[in-house]
Amino acid sequence: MWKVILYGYRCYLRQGVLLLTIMNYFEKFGIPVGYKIDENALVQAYLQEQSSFHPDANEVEFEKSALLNKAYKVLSNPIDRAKHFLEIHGKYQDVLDPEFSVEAFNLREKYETLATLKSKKKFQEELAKRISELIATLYKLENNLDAFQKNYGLLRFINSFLEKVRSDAYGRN
Amino acid sequence: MLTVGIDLGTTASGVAYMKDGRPITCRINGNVTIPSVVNYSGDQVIIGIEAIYSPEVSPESTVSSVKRFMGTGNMFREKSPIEVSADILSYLKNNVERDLGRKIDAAVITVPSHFSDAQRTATKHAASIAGIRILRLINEPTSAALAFGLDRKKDGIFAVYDFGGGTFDFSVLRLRNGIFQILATGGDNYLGGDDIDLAILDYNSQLHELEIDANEKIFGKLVAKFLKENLNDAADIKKKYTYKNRDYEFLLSQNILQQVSCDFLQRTMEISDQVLLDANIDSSELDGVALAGGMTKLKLVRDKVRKHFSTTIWDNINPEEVVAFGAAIYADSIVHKNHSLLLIDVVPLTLGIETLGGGVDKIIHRNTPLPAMEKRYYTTYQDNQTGIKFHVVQGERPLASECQSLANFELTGIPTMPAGMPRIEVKFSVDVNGLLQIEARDQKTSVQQTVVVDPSSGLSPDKIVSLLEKAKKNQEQDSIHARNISLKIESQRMVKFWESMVDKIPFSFQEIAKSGIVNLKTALETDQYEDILLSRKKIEELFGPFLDDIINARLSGRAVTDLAGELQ
Repeated sequence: MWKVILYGYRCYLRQGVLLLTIMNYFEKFGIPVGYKIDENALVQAYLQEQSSFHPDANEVEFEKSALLNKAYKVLSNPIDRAKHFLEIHGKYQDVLDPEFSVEAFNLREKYETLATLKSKKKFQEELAKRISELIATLYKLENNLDAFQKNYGLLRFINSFLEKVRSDAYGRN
Repeated sequence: MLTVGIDLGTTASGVAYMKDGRPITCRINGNVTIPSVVNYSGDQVIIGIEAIYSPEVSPESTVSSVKRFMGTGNMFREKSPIEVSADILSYLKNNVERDLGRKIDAAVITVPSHFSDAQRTATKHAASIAGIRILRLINEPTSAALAFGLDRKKDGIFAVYDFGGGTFDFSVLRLRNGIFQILATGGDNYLGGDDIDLAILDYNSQLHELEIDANEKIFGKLVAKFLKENLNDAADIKKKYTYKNRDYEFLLSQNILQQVSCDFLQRTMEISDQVLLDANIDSSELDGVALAGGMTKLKLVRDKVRKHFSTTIWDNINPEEVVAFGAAIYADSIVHKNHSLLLIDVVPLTLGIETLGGGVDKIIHRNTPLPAMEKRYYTTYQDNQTGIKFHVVQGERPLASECQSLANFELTGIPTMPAGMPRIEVKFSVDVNGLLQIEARDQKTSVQQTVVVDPSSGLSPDKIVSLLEKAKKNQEQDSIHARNISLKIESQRMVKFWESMVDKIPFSFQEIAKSGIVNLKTALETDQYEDILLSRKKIEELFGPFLDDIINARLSGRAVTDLAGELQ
């Protein structure tokens, strides 16, 4: 696998085919690449940039402002940030490691058996708690990318599962 | 040049503008807001208080709470919600322009933060038809935050609890160095004071075994509203309600109010908690909760908010004016390019495209900061397919059929190719007003299609164009002569209104009022426009303080002072 660094973008060459063009959002805000970030510095940099490029301040920079918003949204969310962190290291994969497939299977099974609103609500809390635990684990694995990747896979699964459970429960709309 | 902020509310609307760096409300007939009620009797359009109380109007030709139907195909008296809203906006515009003697150049108009793209587009059309140039559409709770933020000059994390006549919104935001960054928002467009009024009315009609006609409910609801707003700390309150020439005594006690509003209040708290969760903010992190919307005037609501959030409550701005204030502040800031103030709002509801199985491919998630842009790539699933249909939806439900449908469009002219070969790029852009635009492009042939999403709104695109042309023409013709004629017609109607009210004000004022009306009549007969304006203003000032009383009197057939005696 080839890795080329070019003007702040990273391109990956795999089997001779250009695969991904990932913009490095950390660099966009001038903060060091890492899973741990200084949130205050991020907010500060984001608001600073938006005060020059937001359409109310600058009519011509719609796309630039939208891109800043996207970058901020990714970095400020610990789950999206984990994905981006893996992507810029060329380690992102959309798979669940076999090590965790039992846990994932059990969660699915459990949800099927829940009937009452109360138990479903409690299950949502359980999933949310597991997500926090996994995020805490990721902070410790920042320097061990393979383990980081595996744990991220489970985090991603549980998070989209929680989204599904929540959207099943979402009221009027 | 005048820029204003307009709060186009479900039950009440108001206008504010900036003077010496502070927002102030333009009073209309002495009040800070007008009821968002329009009456179409004959070929006349009557708006505001008159539309409810004027002896000329009949309830069945009265349209209220039209905002709830924005962006839908519902029609009222052959008018679409857009046209009804445009009539309210025109009325506000004309009154403010006449009062301040200046033309409104542009406005910031507020919408519930939970409004979908369809509802925002409808609001934008209404403003264009009324001849108002929109600077920005901003969300009501955001607007309230602006008014409080400017007042407090304090950085931190805040929430806005905005419980109005027709809608509930809750937003969490960060305020730093004059930048208002919305972190998350949520709400319900079918949850407001109106629902509680209806519940009070239902309770009382059950009590008296009354079946009230749908058309008559507007008066019943007003009695209910009066009870709700005047209960305060009293154990209970009574008011006479006349229906089909029979009198009934309507009652509201603390217990009944609690009972009928319990579920509604509970729902506002559930929404608030969900928004806090979306913002990833614990309620203990909040530096304050700002109150907006008429419902937050109720002690019951304030107590509940205070108990639920256990943080500082900001309530020092009249909740009925605060939304228009914020809009005026932002209008001023945009026009004067005042970079010390900036709003970063969010997408309120997820935008997506229907997938083959009827699911939704979520493209822009709710609470994404604005402006937002996302691209997706699609391909064909049959050999030699030359077109792809897209169905754009908005909402949080997993099935497209359960979300609000925004637009259907088809990208055509794709060259014949085996399935899966074409590469269609679909670009979604949501601007700072929360309005969506979609561009679809075949990357191989560069066949391109831009879709301005204009959802079914009860008006065909042709009709919108023709109404816009008419509005433009109206503005060109808006000479002094034309304005004088409209002033005359309106004043003639007001004369009738005041004449029917004159014996309802305290006796000592009646003589002055009567002579004021005579003066106005003389001015009208002789076409003395300066005098018309002058005497109208005098009468308005005279009636202003008693207007509430007059209305209550009108409702029940007796004065509020009688009622007060009865309560003691």
